[in-house]
Amino acid sequence: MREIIHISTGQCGNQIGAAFWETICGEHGLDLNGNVLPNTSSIMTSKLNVYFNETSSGSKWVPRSINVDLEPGTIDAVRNSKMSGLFRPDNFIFGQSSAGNVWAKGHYTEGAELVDSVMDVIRREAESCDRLQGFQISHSLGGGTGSGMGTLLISKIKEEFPDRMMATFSVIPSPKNSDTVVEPYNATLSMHQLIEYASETFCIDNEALYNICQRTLKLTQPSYNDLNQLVSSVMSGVTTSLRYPGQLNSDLRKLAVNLVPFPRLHFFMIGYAPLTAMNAQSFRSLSVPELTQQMFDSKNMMAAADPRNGRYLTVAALFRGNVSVKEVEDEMYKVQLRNSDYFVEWIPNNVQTSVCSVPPKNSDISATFIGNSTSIKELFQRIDKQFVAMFRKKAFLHWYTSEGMDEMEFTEAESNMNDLIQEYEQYQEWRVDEDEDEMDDVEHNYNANGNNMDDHNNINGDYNAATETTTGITTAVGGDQPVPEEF
Amino acid sequence: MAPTQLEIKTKALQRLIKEESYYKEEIKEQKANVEKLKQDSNVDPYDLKKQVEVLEDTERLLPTLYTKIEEFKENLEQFLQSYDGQEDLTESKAAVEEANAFIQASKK
Repeated sequence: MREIIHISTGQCGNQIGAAFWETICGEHGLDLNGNVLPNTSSIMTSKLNVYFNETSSGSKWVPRSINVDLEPGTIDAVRNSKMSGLFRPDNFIFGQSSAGNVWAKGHYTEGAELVDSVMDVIRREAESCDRLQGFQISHSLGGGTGSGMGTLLISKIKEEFPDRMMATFSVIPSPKNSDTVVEPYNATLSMHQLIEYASETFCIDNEALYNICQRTLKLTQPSYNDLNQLVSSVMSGVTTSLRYPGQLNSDLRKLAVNLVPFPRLHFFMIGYAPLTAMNAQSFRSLSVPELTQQMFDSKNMMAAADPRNGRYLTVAALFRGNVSVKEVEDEMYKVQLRNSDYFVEWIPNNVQTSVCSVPPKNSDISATFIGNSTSIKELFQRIDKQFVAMFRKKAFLHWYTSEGMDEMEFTEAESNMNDLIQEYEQYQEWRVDEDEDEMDDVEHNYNANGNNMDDHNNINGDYNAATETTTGITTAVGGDQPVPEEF
Repeated sequence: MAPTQLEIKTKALQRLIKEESYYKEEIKEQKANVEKLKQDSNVDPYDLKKQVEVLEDTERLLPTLYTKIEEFKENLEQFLQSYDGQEDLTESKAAVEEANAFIQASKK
């Protein structure tokens, strides 16, 4: 089987990690002790071993999860929660200090002291896998542990498992609800690492999460639980194809082959529909056309960037529940026809649609969106702007240099992120009728179905793609409410 | 204990080779699945179309995997050429040979 090893790091990473495990237990018919509930269908259990180890007695499933933090608080909370019997006790690894929101402490000092014991556990888990496909890590980029130590772990894992996939669920900080002034430093230093070492990054933008809570869910003061609920819905959504049989993008490598046309451009915008508040059932089931429309709506994206300001390189859309494949395909086709400008024409058939018959827990049908959109650069531009403002004055730099960091590393990280922004811009502007020779120069290892790349007019059941234009509401403005720290 | 460079490079190549056989098996099973659906007149043609796409998804991946195998094989070969440590090289050399056989076969 194709196992994935999950790693939660830092306060935020452990919180969204716990929410993820709780959600997928429910979706696979497991109780919170890892026992299969009666009357669980075989489609729910057939790929359980992607994320879970079966105990030798075969009666219980244990998450292949490693929970890491530099302080005991969050991990203690998980260990004392209703999920206390779920995780393997010696996969909890924590220090007694803290990274104090400083990337350098997570990456070079405090984190470096703990990293070897984490690698021992990762090695042990990897050795017990039959055909490990790769790793996924949940962390935030704004704090110290998830960002600093999280990216240290990513680089250590890539060093030891250079052939395996590395997926990240990365929470992007927002100035609208900031925990610490140095978030832009931490995020930029992390981005430098993610660009190089991650195979695919699912961007979870704090700014968008708050916007969704306040505008769509009408929660004036969103709590951790509200946010975790959103994140776990979308994490469950984007991992659906990995967890159930008969799916497109059924493993992390296929996901990368289909969605990442250039290795550095692996930062995905993810969306989910329907959006519902915690414990709330939608009052009525949405139709497939409604879901399709919402899924492409910038209000449903977990990134505060408007897809209409960019173009999609690739898209994967996944519908869940009892829906007709024909209706889904027809709706997706219509959306793409109406909006063909929003999709690069030089990657043919760049929208993949799939259907999974198992619905999520809180609605009859749902849709998850994974887009490789050039507009994701807006997130990095936002971070860069704040970074530059502080770095120019060298503000708070001593928090980092006192841990042994050199200013050069900041300059390099910022310039790498800037290069990334420029690459997105370059591909956004690219048109097929431009200099053909130029296209050959770019390392282009992606050609969806072996078709000629010029062949952008072939619409015969396979689609070129486009995005739904929607009402003119943008999500780029944040709320003014006071918010809980470091989500 | 952290593994040595030799162990890292050898295991990486071994895993990739094992992965190739997994994908081959997956293609075989999915082909059989598609055939079975084709025989069944009650199957929604759109469901069948999807399962054909699932098959193509794996077929599309294989060439990228061969590129990876070649890349990791060359890396290990180079490493072995300049290696002057004490470790047993039998497994590493076997992995290189196996990879060569795979690459040859994939080009046919």
